[in-house]
Amino acid sequence: MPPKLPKPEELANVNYKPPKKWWQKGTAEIKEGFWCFGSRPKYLQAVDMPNPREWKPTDEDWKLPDNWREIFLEGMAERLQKYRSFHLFMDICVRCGACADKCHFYLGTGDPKNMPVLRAELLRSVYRKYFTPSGKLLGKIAGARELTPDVLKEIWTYAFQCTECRRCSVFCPYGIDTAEITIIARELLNLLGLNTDWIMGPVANSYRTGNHLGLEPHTIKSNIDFMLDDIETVTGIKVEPSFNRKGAEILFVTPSGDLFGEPGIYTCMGYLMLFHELGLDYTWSTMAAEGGNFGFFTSNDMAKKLAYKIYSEAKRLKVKWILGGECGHMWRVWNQYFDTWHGPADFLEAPVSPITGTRFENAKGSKLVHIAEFTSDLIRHKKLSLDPTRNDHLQVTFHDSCNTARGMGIFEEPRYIINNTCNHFYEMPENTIREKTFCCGSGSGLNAGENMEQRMRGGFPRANAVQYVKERHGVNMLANICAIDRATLKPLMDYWVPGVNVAGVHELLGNALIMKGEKERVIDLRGEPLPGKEGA
Amino acid sequence: MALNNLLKEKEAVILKRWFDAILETYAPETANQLRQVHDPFANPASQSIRQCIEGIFRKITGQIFTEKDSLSLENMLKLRAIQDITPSQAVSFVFFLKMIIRDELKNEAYSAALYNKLLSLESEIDETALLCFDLYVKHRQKIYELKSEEIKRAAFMLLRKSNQQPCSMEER
Ligand code: SF4
Ligand code: SF4
Repeated sequence: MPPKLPKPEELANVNYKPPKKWWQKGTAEIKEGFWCFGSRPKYLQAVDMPNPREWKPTDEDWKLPDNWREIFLEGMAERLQKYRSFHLFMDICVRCGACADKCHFYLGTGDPKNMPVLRAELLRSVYRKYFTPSGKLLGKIAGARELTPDVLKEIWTYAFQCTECRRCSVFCPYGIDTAEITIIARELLNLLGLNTDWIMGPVANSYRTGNHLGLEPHTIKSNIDFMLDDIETVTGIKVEPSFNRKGAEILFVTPSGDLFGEPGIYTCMGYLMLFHELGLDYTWSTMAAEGGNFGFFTSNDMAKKLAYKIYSEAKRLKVKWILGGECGHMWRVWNQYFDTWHGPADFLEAPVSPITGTRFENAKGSKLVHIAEFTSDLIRHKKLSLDPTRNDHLQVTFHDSCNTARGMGIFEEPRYIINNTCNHFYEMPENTIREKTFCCGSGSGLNAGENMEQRMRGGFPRANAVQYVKERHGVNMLANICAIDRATLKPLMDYWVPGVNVAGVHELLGNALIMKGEKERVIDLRGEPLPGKEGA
Repeated sequence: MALNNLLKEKEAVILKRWFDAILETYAPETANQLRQVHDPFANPASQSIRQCIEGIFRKITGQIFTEKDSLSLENMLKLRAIQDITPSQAVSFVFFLKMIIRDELKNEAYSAALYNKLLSLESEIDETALLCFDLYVKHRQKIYELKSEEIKRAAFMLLRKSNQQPCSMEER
């Protein structure tokens, strides 16, 4: 018999209303466009992480160890003891709702479980059940839930719909940082082998070769050689950086995205030109050619392991201090955790700019200076000749990356560089920048391809603010100081605000920088004609 | 009274009912947020819905449909195209307007002329729904493009080396 067709009036009666109280029970719907592929076993094996196997988040059976519940709960007990902040965050939320609509994923999906308070509640309800007397006794009434397979799947789903951006924490009267709750949730999930391929691939590669893509030393060098040829085409100057050079004053480390991806490579060309112009005594390393640390998106231990390669490379090369490129989470990891993990790095010296003599007091402990701090200090001391008119075709706005903004308070330096290298700079609305900046929607390892819809949802509030300055001021360039931003804001703009391009701040600098002995510039670092030089 | 004048008189009521009907399709917590927060940057979805339905209303009542209106229509469909809903749900919001207008005009004395006008207005709403469907499909398509473009950008240097991209800047 053919299926019964609905009558027209039945068709018109579609109920679009979601059921009430639906969020209290675990729903483990894994929906297309939301999730990233599960990690391949070889990546987990490479770094000795538990439960390597083939699995797909949409499979009914996630192939967990028999005692998965004990592993999860023991892991939780251990972390409740180890991290006071986690324990506190599990206890003190008063459900005031101040954070509710501050998450870009909630604003983009409209899914209440993406409200930070409910995201945390998914884990908190399990905490209540197993770690509080009231939850043990009263169960549901006290907001407690059993850890069932469905609840586990739900925690997984929403832990990977949070970019750990910390925007919610800015608005919480108690300073509850849902990002930290997500971080712990992901750690617990990792105890069961529940991570994504997009995160574990870079982790395994970094562990083996020192960078996310697994680029071998000769590939890194030949990529940079390509850029040097381009710089010569643009400026007539042959830049000759050194690699793995012992005894250099400074080790330079940038995210590997700057070495192979577009538009990151233009930012990298900016660094190369700047260092050449300064005659800086620095070296690249092909062993620790990665500022990024996807270990941070798996577990504290893995982040710690991967971060150490930069220090050990600094030790091997006997440099005095480390200069870091435009990156987001590299800085969060370094600024917030490094000293506790490996510090103090006594074999390095407190960073002093060899050009201006400025002591970077803030980096006394970590020995690592952000390039935005380094370059703005140069400009302030008038050490660079700049011609901002070369960027006159650009109407620029600046996206604060969550990590450099909320993770370490870098607000002024990139703006100072932009204002000195461009004549047209416009801020986005106040509640979307600086410490209240909206995430790109793809951070914390969520920048995969298979969850593109989710990324577009999460980036919607950011894009909306860009659209506003585009309409108002004709903005056509979104500048930033983060490699993940450079990669992910581009599709975000192509979807929401076509016509807006994306660049690192040092690309703008590279274009404006007047180098000694350069030929007349007619093209920019992308090979496009400079304003007024179209016919040249 | 001419249909357009009648509708203009009831504009505020119709838009409010329409907005509320759209919010009904969201979870109750989300609907509340969308209703209460008016800051276009703090709550961009709410603004997208408002601007879009105002634009459509202007369009079907013969008022000027500006470039800004067309942009807000696009924005709304971009949002629908990435939300977790079926294609029919994505454009269903346009049909809500039909029901609301019928209901709002149910007490009007129907002249034959008014009735005919109403029929053509409904056709116009149908056309708008079709336009929305086109936009929806276009933006779904765009998602696939974004994925392939992103892969190309990430492998930019590899493509250059394998001569899939102009190799040196001079050749470009
Ligand atoms: S703002 Fe803080 S206390 Fe209030 S609901 Fe959110 S996490 Fe809980
Ligand atoms: S940390 Fe960011 S992504 Fe996670 S819940 Fe808070 S606002 Fe949302």
